[in-house]
Amino acid sequence: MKKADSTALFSARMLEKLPLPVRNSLDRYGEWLGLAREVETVAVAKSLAPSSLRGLILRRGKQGVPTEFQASHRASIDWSCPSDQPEMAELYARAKRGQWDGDSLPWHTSVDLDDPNLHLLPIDGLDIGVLERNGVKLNAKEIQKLTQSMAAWMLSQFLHGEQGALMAAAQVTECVPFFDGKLYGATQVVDEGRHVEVFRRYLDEKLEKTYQINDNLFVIIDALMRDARWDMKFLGMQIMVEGLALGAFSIMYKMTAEPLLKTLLKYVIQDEARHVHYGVVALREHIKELSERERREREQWTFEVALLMRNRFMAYEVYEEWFEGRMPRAAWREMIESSPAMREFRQVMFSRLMPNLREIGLMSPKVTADYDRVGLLKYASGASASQLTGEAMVAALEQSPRWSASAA
Amino acid sequence: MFNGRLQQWSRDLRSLSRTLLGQPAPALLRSGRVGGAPAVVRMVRATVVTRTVETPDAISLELRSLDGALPAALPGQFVTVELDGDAPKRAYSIVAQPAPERVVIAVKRIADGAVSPQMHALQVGETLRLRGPLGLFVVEPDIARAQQYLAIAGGSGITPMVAIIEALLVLEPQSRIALIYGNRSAADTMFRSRLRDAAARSNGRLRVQFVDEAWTADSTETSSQGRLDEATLQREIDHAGMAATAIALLCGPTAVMQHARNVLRGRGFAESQIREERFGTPQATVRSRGAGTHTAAVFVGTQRYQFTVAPTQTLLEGAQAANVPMPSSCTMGGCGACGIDVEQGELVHDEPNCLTVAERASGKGLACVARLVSDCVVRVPNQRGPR
Repeated sequence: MKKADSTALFSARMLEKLPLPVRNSLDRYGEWLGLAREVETVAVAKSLAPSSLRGLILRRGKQGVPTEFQASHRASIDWSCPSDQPEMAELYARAKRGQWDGDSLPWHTSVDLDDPNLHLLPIDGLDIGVLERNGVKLNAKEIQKLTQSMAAWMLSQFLHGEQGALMAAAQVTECVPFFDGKLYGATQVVDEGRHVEVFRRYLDEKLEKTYQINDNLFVIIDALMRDARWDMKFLGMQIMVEGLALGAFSIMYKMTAEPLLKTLLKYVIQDEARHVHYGVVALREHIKELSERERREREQWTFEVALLMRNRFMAYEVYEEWFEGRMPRAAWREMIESSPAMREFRQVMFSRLMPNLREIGLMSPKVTADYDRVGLLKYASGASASQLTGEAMVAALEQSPRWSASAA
Repeated sequence: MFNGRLQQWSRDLRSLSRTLLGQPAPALLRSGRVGGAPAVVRMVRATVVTRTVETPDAISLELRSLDGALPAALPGQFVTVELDGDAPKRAYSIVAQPAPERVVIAVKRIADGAVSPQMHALQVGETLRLRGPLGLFVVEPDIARAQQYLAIAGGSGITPMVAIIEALLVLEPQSRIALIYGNRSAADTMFRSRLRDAAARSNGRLRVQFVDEAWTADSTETSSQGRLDEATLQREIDHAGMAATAIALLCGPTAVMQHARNVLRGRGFAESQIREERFGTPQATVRSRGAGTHTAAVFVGTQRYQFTVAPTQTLLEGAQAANVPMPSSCTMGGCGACGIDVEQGELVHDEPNCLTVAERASGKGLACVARLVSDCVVRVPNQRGPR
């Protein structure tokens, strides 16, 4: 696996002589080529290539119209209505008890965007020095506004991810082979709808701004929605996207000092913990029954998608809003990569993912060595979703320090 | 089908050419405030969408605003309602807000009332005007708080309590609530089965003690028989097992509120722990003690204004008629923008309103719901907005 470094495709001296818009275009092309070089497995490249074309090059997520596609998965109805999966039945019972109403959140909470004491994210979470070295000076108020934009961008991606999860949950409910799994799936559809509701409402009413979907997030959701294999949908949505989202929600919950957002995230986290658990239960036995070739393909797909997600969420939408034409796109990327809050996000996202991969049997010695090489193995020893409740997860977050040692 | 594909390819081509030319798509999907609570509480038209009979003399009405979303209600707040025609306005607690543009209120019929019989006559599809949510008799749930709440309600005083209790059960999972709820009989008890079911589902976090004056066949679950007097309240609070550190919430007839205050004070409840909502109109007091026109002297900053207030007017209405620049906002006693300090004379206030017990005790008032019982002198403390 090679580290993505699009700028290395063009010499620095050559780039410096070019006008900024051209440099930015080359930077974007360099990223496309970098992506192609990053994916090592043919099967993974084949499964992601059409979605990458639609998301990265044609940018369908930003065309301003609904994305339409023909779903190709196989659905099932079991007329014998069996009790066939006790763990899912228990999860269904827990999900029913755990329902909450988005309208009941304390929406009256004032979120004054002009209040210097409003800290949606820590003000020192961005590496502002990089901006200054590139000739962009921001005063304290502008830094606060930029931090708010980063929070709005993250929450916007949560919103788009949740809409993807809503559609995926509906698909997964159709194709999951367990009857108890279908009952549980119905609750997850409701959960995802509620998450879309509360994130959209928070963005519309409180932050007053919503960003477009990130191209890389579009690629992953597009690929999962079109994949015909039910276990790949589960693996992609329930384990990868939900697992990474759970990590991202958790870190934002830990960082934010805004009480309404904290409450909202707390409820969402408790739902998400069930969703990931569902994926683990569904896949644990299934993966054992696959041929070694099929298992390896899923293992490799998971590893490569995990790295793509880690390396490619660079908040370019915020760059385009704030700094397009003022400084190079590559400098913005440098700032994101070196900012403590963003580093923490990228790292901690994996703390919820790795134990689940271990639990479902996608951590063979070969791929374990790959994870070790890219510095993610340290997360594999944590508790998996089947061993953790949402309450325990929130309690652990409340006890942990704001910055982890690895991100400092 | 083919047309659809052609349009998609055309969009793809435009998008690709923009990308190649270094013209990114707009970063923002939308900006600016979308929906949500308006900054100023305004009067809206609303229609009745559901009418439910709760008891022989009480109904619930679900009202839908025809003018967009209402602000999110805090548990315990009320709306004021004006019927078409010249019926006076009345305040009704919000039992639930199932959607941003919908509120559910409960109305108990008062035989010789000026408004409640007309409210009972309302049918689905009929319209009225409402303003709100207003009021400071609220509990803002805090997910991290572990608190004991002692709610004491008499008759229709249950309406704000229902919203508060249901919010606490969901949003304050470590707190416990005991409700002592007095009525004439089981059949006259609003939301009896709703409260009983909530208690059954609450894992012991909600305890409901019904106190019925008349014992009937439906009274099997009643905690005790009698009126909510001091002796009954002493016994019921003992049963509830609430410490003096609990927050007490009171709403009901004046006599019940007075008994409850006496009992709570005797048990060591601090004034700051007792919150109450009053319903009622001050006309009787005005009629018996101060009928007639009175003179008001009002200090706004360094200016002194003097004007007369007719028996049918509030202090604010009198000031507005005399072009006196007194601050105001909701005009319903719900926002506090028209707060005054009463220096001389006697005023009574339309209830409910947002004055706290401490504010009442220290001579604060609200010009928009204040009626003069005698000549008076008041001062506008500082220019301020709604709280």
